[in-house]
Order: sequence, then structure tokens, then C-alpha cells
Amino acid sequence: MNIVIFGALSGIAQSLAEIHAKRGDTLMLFARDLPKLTQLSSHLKVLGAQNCFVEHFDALNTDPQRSEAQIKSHFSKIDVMYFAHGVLTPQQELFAQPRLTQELITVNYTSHAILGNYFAQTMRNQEQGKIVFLCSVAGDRGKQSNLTYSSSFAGRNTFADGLRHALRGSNVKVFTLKIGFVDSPMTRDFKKGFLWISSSKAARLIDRAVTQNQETGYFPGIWFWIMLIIRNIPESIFLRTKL
Amino acid sequence: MSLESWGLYPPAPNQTSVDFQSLDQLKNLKKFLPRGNGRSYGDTCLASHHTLLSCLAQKHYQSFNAETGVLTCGGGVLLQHLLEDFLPKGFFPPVTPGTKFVTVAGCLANDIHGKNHHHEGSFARFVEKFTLLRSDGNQITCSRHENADLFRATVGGLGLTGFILDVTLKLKKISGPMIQQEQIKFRGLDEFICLSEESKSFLYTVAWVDCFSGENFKGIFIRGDHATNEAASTTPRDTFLPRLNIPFYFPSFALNKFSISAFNFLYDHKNHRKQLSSQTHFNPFFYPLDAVGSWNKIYGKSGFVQYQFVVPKTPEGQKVLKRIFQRLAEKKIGSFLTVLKTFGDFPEEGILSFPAEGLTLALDFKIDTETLTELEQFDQWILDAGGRLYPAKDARMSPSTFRRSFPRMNEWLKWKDPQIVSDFYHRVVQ
Repeated sequence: MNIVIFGALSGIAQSLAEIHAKRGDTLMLFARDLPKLTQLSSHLKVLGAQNCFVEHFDALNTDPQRSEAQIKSHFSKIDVMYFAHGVLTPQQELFAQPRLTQELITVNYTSHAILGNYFAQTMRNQEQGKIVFLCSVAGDRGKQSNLTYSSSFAGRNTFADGLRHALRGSNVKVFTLKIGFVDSPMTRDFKKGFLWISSSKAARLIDRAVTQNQETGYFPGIWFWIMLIIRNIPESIFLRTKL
Repeated sequence: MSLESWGLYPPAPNQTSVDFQSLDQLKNLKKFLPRGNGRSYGDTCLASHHTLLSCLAQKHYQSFNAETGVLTCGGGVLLQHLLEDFLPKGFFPPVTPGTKFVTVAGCLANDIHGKNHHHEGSFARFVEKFTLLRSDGNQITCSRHENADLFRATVGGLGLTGFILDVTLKLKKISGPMIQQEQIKFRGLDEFICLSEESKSFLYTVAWVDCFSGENFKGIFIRGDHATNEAASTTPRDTFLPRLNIPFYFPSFALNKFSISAFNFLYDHKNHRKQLSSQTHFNPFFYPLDAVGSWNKIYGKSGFVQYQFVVPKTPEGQKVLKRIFQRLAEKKIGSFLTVLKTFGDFPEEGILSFPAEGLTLALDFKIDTETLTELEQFDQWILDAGGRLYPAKDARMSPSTFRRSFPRMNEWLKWKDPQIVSDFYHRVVQ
């Protein structure tokens, strides 16, 4: 299988890449840090990847045509695409620096929408394939602790849902996979409780959903119930919480 | 991440831990200690008031030759990952300690040994080269031919000569995950030595001993080899992660002479016959304790010390072992896991490498002053017989014991990195 991953250096994406490498898939990885990406590529080849190609990608300057050309120079058919890039800037810093808000929304939402809209056509033309948006439970309700991050994911989640609708009947699957708390480099400084899972565990859950064509869901499943409650807390009470 | 050592003793205040990411980080660190997965029992993995520079992010493989089994990987790769990723390809770590939750860099820095030492020697024998990052920013490739002095100082050098970035080692080709093992009950040191002699052709040997049974101690001798039949290798137990977790510290009285006697009784009687032959998966064979997460907590909050030494097989060495067993029984000093093994005749790979030809005994004790005083006495007997103590497990040896264990310490000191410190180093070396 031919696998494309944007944001391949994120904790979950690396674990996903490992799963595919062990299956002997061919990988095309995009991320900002090319030296680290090259290191990852050797790692994946040792694990069994048929081949692994890497290209520089900056979500602040998303250029889907260029990315597509880079992919097509190695393989013509894409089986699975993962959009995994994202940033988690502390809300306090966003209050202080407007530029950071723009960057966060560009990386977490705009870039995903640009890639989604462009590659929808590519996938439609090849008449098959899977587009996987790594989404977040954070997008289900705005809350004071990370309101900008939450809202960028609300956008990503909704975009992915809409794209699935748009590609209905085309044999292209679009996945909105809402992931809970994951222990990864992005959340290094967070206090971890019992709901936290490792990025390799998250990757296994995602891979299973993609393999079984489960296009929407919460991972792990307990988040379905947690978010059901959180979404239904009346606003007057919600405002009094510290979530 | 917990910043204790695995023995939970001694305490180490004011440590911070950072993942090693890039060379620039070193400029901002004053004193630091490279650290792997923190599975050393004593204070070699602690640096009070300083920074622990974790190698766990260096977990990538760089290259692998499936013909020769030679792998280059980041120092932070755990043996657990090597097993998961290379066992399906038919390769096994060349030497493994009693847990798979240790890093490759840690294995090198402690020049660890395993159940195959009598046959194949210590970990470093399988290391072809490694890259060492010094605090001055130099990256040095070390092998037996290139920077050989630094190679020998870093092997068993307790992380004090630099940060081990990557390691090139030769994995062992095997046919499957199963081990063909035999368990034989024995009594006393003479029988143990006889069994060791006649088991030389087995790749793995080790013995469990009842610490309360005195000079003529009871034990079970375990010997095994990688099974060659493919049929049994289908057992789906390759991911052997803790099923049981110790969620809290046991009260300190939980381990006492009665509970240890009860455990010893059960362990001794699990085998009805004098000799048992069976096939077992490598996980219970090598890593029985890995099945219990945080098993160190059963010793209580105050922690425990491991005590491992080696004495030559000479009459003096044997006498020391017998005396120690006699003392343990007399004083009812209980060791939960008591493991006896013979080391083979291999020259030390590193200046501070622990394994040397002879008999090695590992014991663990709950912390209490009477036991600690007793161990001082044991130290003297061991040193007088020409033996030495294992720094990787130590939390209590005196500076003079260390010097007598490793008489070439001064030669090693020349290669120590000036910015790297550990609590062990402060306590014992300087």
C-alpha cells in the first residue's frame, strides 16, 4: 500500500508510520524538520517499509500542487492519506500575541482544508482511497483552557464531516477520528491522568478504525460518553466549571 | 516520569529531566547525567540538584543488516522494542538482563551480563562501535580500533564519559521465541558448581536459591537454549506487557522473614520432581518480573538495595559464598530474589566492567541499619577473596570498596567527562 502522511513527526504520526512500515508499505512523509524526517525514514526502512520518501512541508505555506507532484514522482496511486499536523500553543500566549493565533488556525485548520479540498479531487480521480483527518475531542465544545485550539479543531472536525458527505458515492472514504488525551511530544508538559494513552496506543486504534472503514468515532471509545456529557451540560453550569 | 532509581533508594532531591534533542542543549546545561529508563537499582542513575539528560527520545533505528544481524540504533531504544521489532525477523538481543525495559545505551554503560555470560560474555562483546557526545560538543566514534581508550572507558563507565548517541551491535540469530529449559533441584555450592560444569554447553544458565537455607543451601538450577522447532513458536505472547500492576507502595512490613520463607517454600515446591524439562516462551524465562508493573513497590516506600558481587571460583571465593549464606540464615536476613550464576572466562571489555570469571550472587534487601552493617562485613570478605561489587546495582559501597573492586579506576578517571556527575560518582569516586 502507498501511504502519505502530512505532519509525520508528530507522536501519533510516527507510530502510525511504524505500523505501516512493519506491514511493508511504501511511505511518503511530509514535515517541517527535514533532518529529523530523514532519520525517521531510515528507522522505518529498518522496520520493513518497502520504501520511504520524505519532503519538506510547512503547514504555514501549504502548497498542495507541489506536494502532489512530489508524491506522484514516487507513486501514482495513493491508498491512505493522513493529515496529522497540528500545534498546541498555550492559550495565555495567544492572548498576548495575535500572530500566534493566526499561525495556530492556519496549521490546525486552514492547511487541512486546503489539502482536503485539493486531494479530494485527486482521490476522486483515482476512484478509491482513504483520507484520514486526525481530529480531536477538543473540537466538541469551546472551553476557556484552550479555546482557540478547540475552535480550530471544531473547524477541522466539521470540514472532515463535510468532505465525507461531498465524496459520498465516489468510493473514497473520509475519516473524522476524534482522539482523546495522548501522551506525545506536544503534551510533554501536561500532567497525565488515567485517561491518557500513549501515542502508539492511539495509532493502533486509528489504524484499526481505518482498516475496518469506521469513518467516525472517538478513540478510545470512552470519550464518546465523556463528550456526550460535556456537550450536554447547560451553558449556565458549564460557565462555572474550570474545564 | 519518575525520577527515582528502581530501588527507590537513596532519595535524590531537586532533579530535573529533559529529553536530549540537539547539541545546542548541552551549552545551557551545567552539570548533568545521561539517563536511560531509570532501571538501575542504586544511585548510578541519579543526580541530585542537577539535570538528567534522558536518551529515551533517541529511539530510532538507523540501519540493519539482515545477513549479519548488525544493527545501528539510537541509545534510547529499549530491549522491549528490539524484541518486538526483530524477533519476527529471527533476531534476539545478544545479552539481556532480567528486564527488557532497559535502553541499549544503559546496557552499554553498565556492560550488563545475562544468563549466557558463561558462554558468550557481557553485552559489550557484541558492540562494534558507538557514537559518544562529550559535553564540549565533540561527537566521537568509538570502537576497538578507533578511540579505543574511550571505548574501554565508556563500556561499564556508568554514563560518566559522555552521552551515548547511537550504538552498533550484533543481534543473535534465533529460530523462534521459545526456550527449551530444564530445572534441576540441588543442594549446596558443590552441587551447584558440578551442575554449572556439566551445563556448559547450554546457552543460558542461572540458579534460584533459598536465602534462609544456610551453608548447604537449597536451590533450583535452570538451564536452557533457544528451541529449534518452529511448531511451538506460534504462541501469541510476543507482547508481554504487565498484566498486573502494583498500584501503591506496600507497607514496609509486607516483606518479612515469614513472607519470604513462604515464597521460598512455594517456589521450591512448585517442582515436584528433582528434574523438569519443558518448553517456555522467552518472556517468562528471561523476564518473569516484567509481568508485574512497578514490582519494586512491594518493598515499601523506603525502598531496597540490590547486592551483587562476584568472587573467583578459588577455595577462598567458595568459602566466602558459603559464609554469606550461613550468615543470612543465622541473622534471618531475607532476600526476596536470590540468584546465583557462574561467569565465564572473558577479559573485561571496559575498565569498569563488572563481570569476571567466577561465581556471582545477587541479593536484595529491604533497607535497615542491621542489614547495611552486615553488608559492610560481606564487602570485606569478598574483596579479600579477590572479588568485586557491581556498581550498577549499588547504593551503599564505600569509596575504598570501589577502588579495591576496580583497581584501574585512576586510568578510567582520565576519560570522565568533566560536566557529567551522578550521585554514585559523588558518593564513591570523588
